[in-house]
Amino acid sequence: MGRTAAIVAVGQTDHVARRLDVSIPEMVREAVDRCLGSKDLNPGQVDAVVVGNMELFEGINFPELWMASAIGAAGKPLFKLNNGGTVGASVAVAAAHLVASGLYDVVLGIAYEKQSEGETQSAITTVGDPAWERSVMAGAIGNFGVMASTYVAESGVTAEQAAKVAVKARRNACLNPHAHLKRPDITVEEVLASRMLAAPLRLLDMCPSSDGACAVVMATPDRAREMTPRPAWVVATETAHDTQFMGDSPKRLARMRSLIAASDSVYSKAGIVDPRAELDVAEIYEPASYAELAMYESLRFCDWGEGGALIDDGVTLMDGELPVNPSGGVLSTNPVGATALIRVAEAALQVMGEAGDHQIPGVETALATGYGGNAWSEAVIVKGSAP
Amino acid sequence: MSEPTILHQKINLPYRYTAGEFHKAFLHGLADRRIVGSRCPACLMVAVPARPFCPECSAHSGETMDMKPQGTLETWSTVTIQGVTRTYGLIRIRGADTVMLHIVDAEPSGLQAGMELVPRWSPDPVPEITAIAAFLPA
Repeated sequence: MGRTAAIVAVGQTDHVARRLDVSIPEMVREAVDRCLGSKDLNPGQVDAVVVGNMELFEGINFPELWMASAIGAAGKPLFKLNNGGTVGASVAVAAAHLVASGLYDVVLGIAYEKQSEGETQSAITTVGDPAWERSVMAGAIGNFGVMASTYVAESGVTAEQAAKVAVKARRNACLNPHAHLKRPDITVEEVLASRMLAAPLRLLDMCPSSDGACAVVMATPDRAREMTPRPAWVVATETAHDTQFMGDSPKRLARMRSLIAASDSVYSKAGIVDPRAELDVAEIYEPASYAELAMYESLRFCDWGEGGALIDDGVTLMDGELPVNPSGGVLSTNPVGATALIRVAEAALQVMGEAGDHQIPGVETALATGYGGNAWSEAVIVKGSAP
Repeated sequence: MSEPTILHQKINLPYRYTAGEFHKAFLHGLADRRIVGSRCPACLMVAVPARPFCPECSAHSGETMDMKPQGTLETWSTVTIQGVTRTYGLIRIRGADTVMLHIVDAEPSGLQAGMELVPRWSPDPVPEITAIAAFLPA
């Protein structure tokens, strides 16, 4: 990138299963007001807006047009993204690029989903190829089940190890006022006794379905320093995609090549050689408990096949060597379009020292990832010091 | 060239939409045979239908307000689809700074910009835009 961009403000709604008190634009405005309000900014300071979600989920075409008055975008450059589960991270990456390119000084990035208003699994099935997969697939959870069983076969990871991830997420969520599923008393036994959805995935191994929105303000170095004493500097971004058919890369969850490519790229750009030692916290997009363990391996937090041992050793717990998803992660909160932006926003909060009760002490370097459609990955590294 | 293979499939995409406070006020007003707008507390713009954010300055709307159930025709077009002819007009409700789309039930040849219109309510209005069946010349 040419110039550097920094995240100066973050805002989120309190994510829940159903927001019956607000329309979609009203819900999005809530996140924008919280974001701008957190640093006493006003919409007049925003030069351009990037917005993203999963259009088919709520059956709304031109969602950015529907909410233009809600987000103060009328008459301004407004860019819409729509690229699956990754979209929230893409919003952050696009906003960073718009600032770093020199085109705009201050960019507002917004992502949202009101999952309660659509039929997520019907919409997700359209990911499948009409000739080969669409008529025989079983929504997102069926796909995740196939991925997880591949990972079990590859790594020997156990249901107990996966359940520990599910427990970690819901307990961490209790410290995050915006999280959806908060279960302070959840146990591994409870996860293992929960209903089987798609073997080996049980109900509590899966992310929930949430209504929520997230917004971030990205600014040039000069503007960022005016707006907040400790911005989160976006030092590296990457996006990587894979090919369409599940069967063409059968080990996609066990060894997700787009996640390997994206994370290797940002580590290289940020000069990170040993991510487990050099990252202070990670906010990763884990759609299921097993996926988090598999991602530890693709993200090089451990050797291949060692994902289960990492959770056994407590490395990724709140007080571990490399805390993963202190926010409670996707397993606790999943307004899909917003989910990956929440990862970036939470990583930024950790760096800015604004994560409240789930703040990890002394965070200097944080990783955020986005994930979509078993294929697409994004990675972002934010730091507390200007590069 | 041999016959192309074309798959005929269909996507079922049900959705729900939470109207929110201001659209709810507008829709339930219709069920009461009232037209409800909103006024921007910042720039004083009056919008009909009522909405949560000012279309001009994006401020949060203040209170809703009942409008007189009459308006003027700003512009229109007559469309014929499969033998059915309808006139769609942009109608400015009295006192509003915005215009709203609805059906105008009148001979197109008799329409003039600025002419007065009144709503024809459906016999049993429900909280939907179709509670107004059409606008008619006053």
